[in-house]
Amino acid sequence: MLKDITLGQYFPGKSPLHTMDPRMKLLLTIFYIVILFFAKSVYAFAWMLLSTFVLILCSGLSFKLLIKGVKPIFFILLFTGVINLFFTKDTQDPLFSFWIFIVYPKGVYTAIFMIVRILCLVLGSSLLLTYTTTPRALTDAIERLLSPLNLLNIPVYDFAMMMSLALRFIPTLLEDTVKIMNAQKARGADFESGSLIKRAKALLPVLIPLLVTAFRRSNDLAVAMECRCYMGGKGRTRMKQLRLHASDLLAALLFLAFGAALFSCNYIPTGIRL
Amino acid sequence: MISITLEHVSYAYSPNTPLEKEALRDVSVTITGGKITGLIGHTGSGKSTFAQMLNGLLRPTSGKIFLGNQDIWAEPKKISQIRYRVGMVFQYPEHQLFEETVYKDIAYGPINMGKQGKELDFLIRSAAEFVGLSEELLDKSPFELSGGQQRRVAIAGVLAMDPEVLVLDEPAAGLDPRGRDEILGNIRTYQQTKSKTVILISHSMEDMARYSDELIVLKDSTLLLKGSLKEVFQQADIIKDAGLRLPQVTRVMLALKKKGLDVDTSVYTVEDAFKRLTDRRRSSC
Repeated sequence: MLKDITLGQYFPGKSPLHTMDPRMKLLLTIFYIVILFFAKSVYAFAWMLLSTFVLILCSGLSFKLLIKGVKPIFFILLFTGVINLFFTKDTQDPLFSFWIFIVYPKGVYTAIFMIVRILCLVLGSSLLLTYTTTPRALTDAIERLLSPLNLLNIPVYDFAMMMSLALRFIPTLLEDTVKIMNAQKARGADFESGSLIKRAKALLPVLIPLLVTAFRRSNDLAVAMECRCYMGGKGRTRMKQLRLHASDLLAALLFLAFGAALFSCNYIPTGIRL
Repeated sequence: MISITLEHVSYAYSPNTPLEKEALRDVSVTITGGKITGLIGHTGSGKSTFAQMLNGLLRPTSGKIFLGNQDIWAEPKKISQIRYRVGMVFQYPEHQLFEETVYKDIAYGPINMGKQGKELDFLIRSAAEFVGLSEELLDKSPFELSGGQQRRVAIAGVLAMDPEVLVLDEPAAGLDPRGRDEILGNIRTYQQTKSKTVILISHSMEDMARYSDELIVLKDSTLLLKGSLKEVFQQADIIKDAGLRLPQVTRVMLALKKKGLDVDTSVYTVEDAFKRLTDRRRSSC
């Protein structure tokens, strides 16, 4: 049950996307997301779909895996689609009407475009970032990109350290949860039946030991870090230096080209109004 | 004095996925009722999986498990009944304590079983007594206690359910030698006075030699050996092959024999060896 979470997970690989500099990936993801919202015509949407498809091929991840990752947002997609389908008003003749529902051609287009946009958004950002970047590299990238904030006396390094520690402990705490749940099940705990309140109460014997365990682990970690003379971020150098390569610049250029193409697509005349 | 029988039991984690990992392969064995059976094996040999199957926490991918004559998975909805009959103490059980007082924590299991009133109180107090917890500790918070005492509380929490079979996964791990002997000694006393069936998982061959009657040896997810202490320890080569060692004192005896000294090599505890060697000296004088 707890092992089925794929959203925000990293899948190891050696694709061009995996090897790209995480800082560049972070910036390009933001760029990509912003650009998606500028798509306004059919051609622009088609171009967007095509580019996302190319991105999937570049990542070397299987389609099956991606579909599994998109599953959790299925209802959001459905909801957006339905709302847009029925509640888009237009001056044109309606396509058909049923009871209080009136469907205009524009509604159909908007619904389809919204779904495609959200799909591209989720796929693009997870492909570029979480699926192909280790949490460590990601925090490194965030730290480096935010480092100008150091000038304002904001301890960026400490925040990045906290973030990577939190990420590091997710699988450990999941494992602890499973262990504690098993132990309480062996003592007759029942997590699967009864009313909502009863089930919530049944979780108490899991949550308290889990909290205690989390505190114990963080205390151990703090001691271990101090034993190794951890003094915070000041003056620390890194073992793995992030360096921009020619391929990263090439990727940036490709993305710029993608953006420019998408903008120009908006100006190709079509019969469909949006 | 109920026995547990496994018939061709296999278990795989995440079956039918690329991550499939076989943890037990075609294990058929009977755990004798009213005895302490030691379960040994190298890390990753399937010991914990084996243990978690005995009380229905894991369901075998294939094969059957019988508690007495009853197939424990005959009615999957009533698996909690099996969990009351087969008590399970996990590794580092003190990490699962949660109540305000020791008394309440020990009560958690029996209350889940529906016990109440005088019977509940009796179960809690006798369980606490078996593990050597004194009366005044019962009203303390379990988080105030030392690690060794927390361990006792957690074990008492399972004993209080008065299970017919008790499974303990490394109950003495991380304790000092005295705490080790006390806890294992308590378990031995409990088993003998109540003539329960006990399954003990441990890495320590010395503990096994001292506290168990029969042994099950697992290797690479399969059953390697099963028999009385003597039967198993005589197969020194097979044990070595499984990545395990005979008890230290037995190895000393074997080495002595190799050097030409005529000694009995079927001794497994230091006390036993001492007795045999002194007897031998007396008789030869």
